[in-house]
Amino acid sequence: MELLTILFEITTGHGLAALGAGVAAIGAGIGVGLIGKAALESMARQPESSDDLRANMILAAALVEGVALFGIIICLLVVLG
Amino acid sequence: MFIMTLLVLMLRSMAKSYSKRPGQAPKGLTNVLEPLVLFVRDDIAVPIIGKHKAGKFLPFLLTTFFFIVASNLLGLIPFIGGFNITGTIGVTVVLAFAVFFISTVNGNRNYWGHLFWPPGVPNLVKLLVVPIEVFGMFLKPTVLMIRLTANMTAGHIIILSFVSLVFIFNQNYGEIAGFGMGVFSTLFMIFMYFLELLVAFLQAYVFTLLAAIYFADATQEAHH
Repeated sequence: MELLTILFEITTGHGLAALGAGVAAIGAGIGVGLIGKAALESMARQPESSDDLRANMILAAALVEGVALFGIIICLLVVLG
Repeated sequence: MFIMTLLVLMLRSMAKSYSKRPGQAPKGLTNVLEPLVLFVRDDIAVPIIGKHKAGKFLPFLLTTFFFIVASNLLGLIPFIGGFNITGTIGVTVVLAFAVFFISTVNGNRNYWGHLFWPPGVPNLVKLLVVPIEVFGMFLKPTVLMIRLTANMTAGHIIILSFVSLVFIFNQNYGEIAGFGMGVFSTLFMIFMYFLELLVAFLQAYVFTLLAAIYFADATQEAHH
């Protein structure tokens, strides 16, 4: 009986939407972390190009975070709709 | 409406001051806005679209940049409600549709040719690539729209959550917990507001940059 209740809660409850939002945050963390790692390694290798690298790093981070926010929007639509 | 009136007044006074004081360094409001205008022209439009073609698209890029920056910044003001317009999907869909319209109308022969007949691709793979390219043509402005809306909305939701946490702790766990949570929550909210300022400028820059990339793609030269 409890198993059926749990299955019902998974399919119609909001739990999976919250889980999806967490997974999207994992994707954002890994993506921006990789960008930061590459930028820091390049800046350590050649400190003169630090300004160019900083601008491009911020641009790439904004684009990657845009993708992660698509997932958040879908989860918001599930919870609020 | 209010934002457009404000922007028009600011930018017209800036343009008039250039003709009233020729050859001198600008002062006042013009001094503040001039680096932003030059930034859009020299760092976004000219490197991507090219020197001679940038003039055609520069009015739209400047309008978009200043509108998005002003709307994002005004949407952060807490008590006067109703200013968060770039967080609503109705405003951003119009901006994205404008980008789509301009890039489609200005598409030259190379653009349409590369869309329906991609070069350097074997004939069988062309059957697979052409629907993807056409779908991408519609998807790219949609992605622009969702990126801007989601970034603005997410920031506001985080700030609202921290405020609501204070009230929730107050109701469920008593006054002392509410007070302690209030101190902690206020610090986090101040930090989130600084982050929102950065995101306001950054999202305007990303939107304008991607619009410039789509325009450059639509007016591309033939290269072999």
